Amino acid sequence: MEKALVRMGNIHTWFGKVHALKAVNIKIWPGEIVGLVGDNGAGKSTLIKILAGVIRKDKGEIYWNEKKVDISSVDDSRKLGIETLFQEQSIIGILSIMRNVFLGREKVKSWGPMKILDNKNMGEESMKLIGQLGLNIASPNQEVRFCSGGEQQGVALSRAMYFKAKLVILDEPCRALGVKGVEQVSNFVKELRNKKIAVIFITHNLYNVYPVASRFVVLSRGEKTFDVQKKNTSFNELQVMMAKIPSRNNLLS
Amino acid sequence: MGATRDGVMLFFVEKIAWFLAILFYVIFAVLRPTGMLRWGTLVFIIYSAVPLGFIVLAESICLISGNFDLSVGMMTGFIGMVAGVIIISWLPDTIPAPLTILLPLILGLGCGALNGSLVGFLGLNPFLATLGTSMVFLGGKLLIHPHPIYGTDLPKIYTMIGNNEVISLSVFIATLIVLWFVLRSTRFGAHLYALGAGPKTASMLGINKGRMYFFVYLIAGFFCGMSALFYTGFLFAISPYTATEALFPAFAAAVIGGISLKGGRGSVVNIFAGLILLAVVEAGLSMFAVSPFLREIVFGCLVIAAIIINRLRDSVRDRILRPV
Repeated sequence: MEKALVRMGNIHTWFGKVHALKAVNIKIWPGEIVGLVGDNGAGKSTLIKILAGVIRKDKGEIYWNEKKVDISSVDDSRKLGIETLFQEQSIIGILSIMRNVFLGREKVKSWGPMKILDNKNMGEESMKLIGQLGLNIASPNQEVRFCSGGEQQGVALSRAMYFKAKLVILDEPCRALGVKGVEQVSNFVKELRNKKIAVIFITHNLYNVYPVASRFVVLSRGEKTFDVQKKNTSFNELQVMMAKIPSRNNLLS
Repeated sequence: MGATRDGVMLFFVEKIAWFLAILFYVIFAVLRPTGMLRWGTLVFIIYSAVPLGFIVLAESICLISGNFDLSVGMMTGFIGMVAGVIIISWLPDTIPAPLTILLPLILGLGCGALNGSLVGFLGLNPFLATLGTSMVFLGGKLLIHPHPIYGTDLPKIYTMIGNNEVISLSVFIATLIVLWFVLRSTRFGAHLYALGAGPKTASMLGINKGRMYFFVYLIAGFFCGMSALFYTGFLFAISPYTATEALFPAFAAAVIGGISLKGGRGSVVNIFAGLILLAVVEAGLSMFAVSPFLREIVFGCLVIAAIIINRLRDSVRDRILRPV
């Protein structure tokens, strides 16, 4: 049997008195697209921030390829092969496309005893990646703030492609995007699927993720309430599940 | 056709500080050709700006990283005085004369490490932290030695470096070239701009913010140490008031040179232009024996004008660079 790429078991997190995640279990298989959906405040972002190394869990285990791992920083997460696009913070507007793609992992070449930035190589590689994502941008030196919202997500995503991530986490990638941007993001996700990169797509808007995901996980009030393959569910059922509140929290029932 | 015009326009707005520096020089040269047009005057204008120039570089690197350093002036004065006191009274005749040159540089690294630890490792607000250390440096200096130290009491080689036009200018220009290279072509430079422009994103992408900030202040401290050495030679003395008022011109030159206070922008070439512009105006005003009060007013207006020009420049730049 194939090994799960990531397994998060019995994850708990408290923010002060708020129990933000309650015994959440989630598995991600290699190359699959998972829609992580739920209402605002359901704990979606908290869960993936643990995986991305931004916040620490209070309880629970994380397994990467069935080996227990300790993710305590973004660096740890990246070293495993996890690339995270945080809402609206994945790019730096006044830097060029090239600098954004290689941010923090710039390519260098030797120049005598020194290592200097290899701008030519980084420029060519960024253009290739941009092309693969179907974006039409003239120069790798263009500042990212001049790109459309969809294109900006593409620039951030090309990092995952270049550095051969195994898992990409998209945190509300369609927020603040127009119709065209949403379509572009869907295309990017398909491109990642073609490259056998697993994706966790977080959104509270089922319309954005339903066409591309193959499995859905619903969180509600910090609990996992539904985990289903797309073929075994429907859009309507998922919507109902997203609106549902875990029963023991529901004082009216 | 439109493309070439845009290209020329872009070049003009990017290098506006240079054009302004030349403009001011021409104005003063027309008004007083006998003084201003001499080669010696031109060299002296730049030479006299070297000690301040190092402070400008210190402030600029902090600003590019998205931080402030309000202590640069006081730190320079403190370093100069402490180095002088060590040489003449704490450790007289113990340090070989050529090695005394290293003293202000080491002190600079120490003071920079202090600021860097407060901002980088303790995460204190740079504005308040450096305001605090600035007061510490001022008080510390006056507590240790509230009187001038004269150049004649110092080792000859110690004062010669800042007192010699050729040495001063070559060291300063070499420093500019090294800094230009580091900011433009190394990982450190790329990370510096990235942190200044988007600290959150940059640190999420694995750039170690605390450590980078520490190094930024460490380098700034080193530049202040250089400045202290050059001030001592230039003035042929260490005054308790050396560089106490250097903070404002340091900011002014950086801003005129197109550095954004929001961080992430600025080039060494333009910072140098900002410094030259300031030095030309300073020289022109002294040549006309303008009242020191009027001088303050002129510099104040210059900075405000620079901010307005920067804003105009950014909008022109955006208009040209925005793809259609």
